[in-house]
Amino acid sequence: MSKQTIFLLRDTSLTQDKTRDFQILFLKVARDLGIEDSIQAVRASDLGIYDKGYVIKDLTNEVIYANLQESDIEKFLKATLMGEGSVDEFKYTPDKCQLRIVLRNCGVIDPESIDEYMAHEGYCALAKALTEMTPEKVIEEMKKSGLRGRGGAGFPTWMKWSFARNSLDETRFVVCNGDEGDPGAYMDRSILEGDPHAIVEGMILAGYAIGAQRGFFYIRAEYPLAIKRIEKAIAQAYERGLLGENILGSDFSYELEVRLGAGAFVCGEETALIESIEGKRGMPRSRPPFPADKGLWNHPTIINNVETLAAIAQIINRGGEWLARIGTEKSKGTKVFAITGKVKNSGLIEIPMGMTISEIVYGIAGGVLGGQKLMAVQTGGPSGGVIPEHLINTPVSYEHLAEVGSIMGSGGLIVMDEDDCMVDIPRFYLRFCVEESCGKCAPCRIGGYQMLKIIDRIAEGKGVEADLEKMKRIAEGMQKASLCALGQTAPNPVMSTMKYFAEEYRQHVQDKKCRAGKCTKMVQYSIDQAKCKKCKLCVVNCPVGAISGSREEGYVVDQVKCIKCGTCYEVCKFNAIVRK
Amino acid sequence: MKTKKLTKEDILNACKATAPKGDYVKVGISTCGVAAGAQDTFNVFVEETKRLGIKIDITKCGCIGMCYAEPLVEVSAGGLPTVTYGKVDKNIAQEIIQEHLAHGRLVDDAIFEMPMNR
Repeated sequence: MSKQTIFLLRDTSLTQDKTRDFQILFLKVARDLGIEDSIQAVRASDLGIYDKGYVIKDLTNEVIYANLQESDIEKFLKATLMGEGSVDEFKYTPDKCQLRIVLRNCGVIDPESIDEYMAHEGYCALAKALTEMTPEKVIEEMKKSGLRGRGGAGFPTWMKWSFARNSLDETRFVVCNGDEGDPGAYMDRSILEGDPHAIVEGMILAGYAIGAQRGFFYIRAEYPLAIKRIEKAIAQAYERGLLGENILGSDFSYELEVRLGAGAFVCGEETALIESIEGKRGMPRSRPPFPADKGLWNHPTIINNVETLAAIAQIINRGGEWLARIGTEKSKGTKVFAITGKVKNSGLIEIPMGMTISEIVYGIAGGVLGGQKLMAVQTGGPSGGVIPEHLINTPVSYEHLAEVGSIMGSGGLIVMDEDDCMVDIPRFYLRFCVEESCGKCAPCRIGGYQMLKIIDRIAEGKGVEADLEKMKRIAEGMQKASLCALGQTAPNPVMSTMKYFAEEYRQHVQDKKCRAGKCTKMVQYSIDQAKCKKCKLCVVNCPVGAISGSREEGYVVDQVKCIKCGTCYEVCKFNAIVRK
Repeated sequence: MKTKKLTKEDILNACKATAPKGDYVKVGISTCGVAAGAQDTFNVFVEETKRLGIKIDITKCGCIGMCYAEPLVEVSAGGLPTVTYGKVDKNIAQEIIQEHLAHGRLVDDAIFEMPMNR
């Protein structure tokens, strides 16, 4: 078989798929030119390029051509295979693409094999640090890189490390915070499962830098596969002498073990996490003293997020300046996001800091599902806020996101379209925080509960004007007086929606209307007899049998039985279901 | 079995050794992949290639990130460029074995790509 050039074909309009016709035509033209044997034309499902007409990727030479027409095929084939003419004008380079540093090995190597990790520069950073660098030099390199904590707050990693390093107490600990609890976030799990050795290496390097003797992985028990793979990675590292006494012949000795969290959201907060590892109930301590000064068993402890630790080996390998060249002035490097919600391609992505939210949603994730209009983007989970449509050109960095009233958070990014209610969404997050509040401090325990009661009232159509003002007051109290970040940030989703979607709150309170139909207490479904074609589709699909009647007399919705799920509204082809 | 303790040289040599990798099939098996049926897909690859006598490395890997297209399978075989297949259920897995592995033809409507730098 002679060497073939392989083309992937794809029609990238979101509305209809005409790729099959294009492929038939493509092969016909190739046959006419007598070159059908030297090519293979394959229909691709997705090339990550959208709204660019027909796209052809020359897989053999790794070149992408976009915006082609059916009439261009002959010209294209002649140019690429017969050397006649040129089709350079169709060449396309995706301007916005991912940059994988933390995720570089995820999906590439076998996570359960230390040898594969080592074949991908694994443990090189450790060898370099232990033999050529002093702990101070490692911290210096981290400082140059400008890496900031990826757990959400964005505290400079090097600073945390040097606090612990300079402590007079010689017993020190490192903790990996793998207690990921935000709804819709799974970055840490994917890294733990996809590249466990990178985090083990990061943990050893962190231990070396601060002079620790022991390190703990704190991973929630809901991640059994992540736990299994980390435990396996630790065992392999012990076997090869990368953990234990005198690592690689140096004076440095270090132990690692895994501790499981039982899934309390508050245990992701560092002081509560410390209590949990110590075997106590997971409740935050008051700060100061900070953990870097007095943490586990009152010894200096640094707690880093999974994503932060996964980046460390690369920084040591390539130098701090390398990372500092990526990103914005104050936010360096890349950030992993888990994109979920009403988006075409949900998934895990890693982008350089400074890319805008719009570029992420439209450029990488393929836009809003079903071509709907984007309403808002939520970042930071229950601690974050919403970013409305008119601000989606905000660049992703700690500062810019804080400016618009949200936070970077750990990396959940939820896309919302017009079917989402901006009262219902913060209500969900607030309920989550109230359920997860540990109850230690009053502002969070009582304030959260009272806020939830008010927003429930608004969603049920019983809100009054004064409620909005009252919520603001409670929120301010919580933000100022709560003991830990859970309480301090719990009002954020409510506050930011009240700021950007004030009109929607007004409708709920004054008009007792929910635009999206999500606040079910305010919604009533009925059938417009003039539009109804008596097709019975709603009758068949109603899950509770609330629609009855006959062809002659017409159908009606029994308001007592109706659970307001909206199924009839969605299935009706004639817009005969009225939602009020 | 006692494994030899590594030295610095071992680690540096391991990085440098870029042994040419033979043909392989890699199935993304993280929690997300498993939830989408990746374990079944993996089993089909192992059993079918054995039944047909196709010799190929079948390994597991982590999550590549295209969650909407799980289970994901990366295939590099028969001198063809490496491609990633998405939404690989048992049927598509069969098709990949029959078409790609046995006959060197890529499978239509199953390839997913996303532009990225590493």
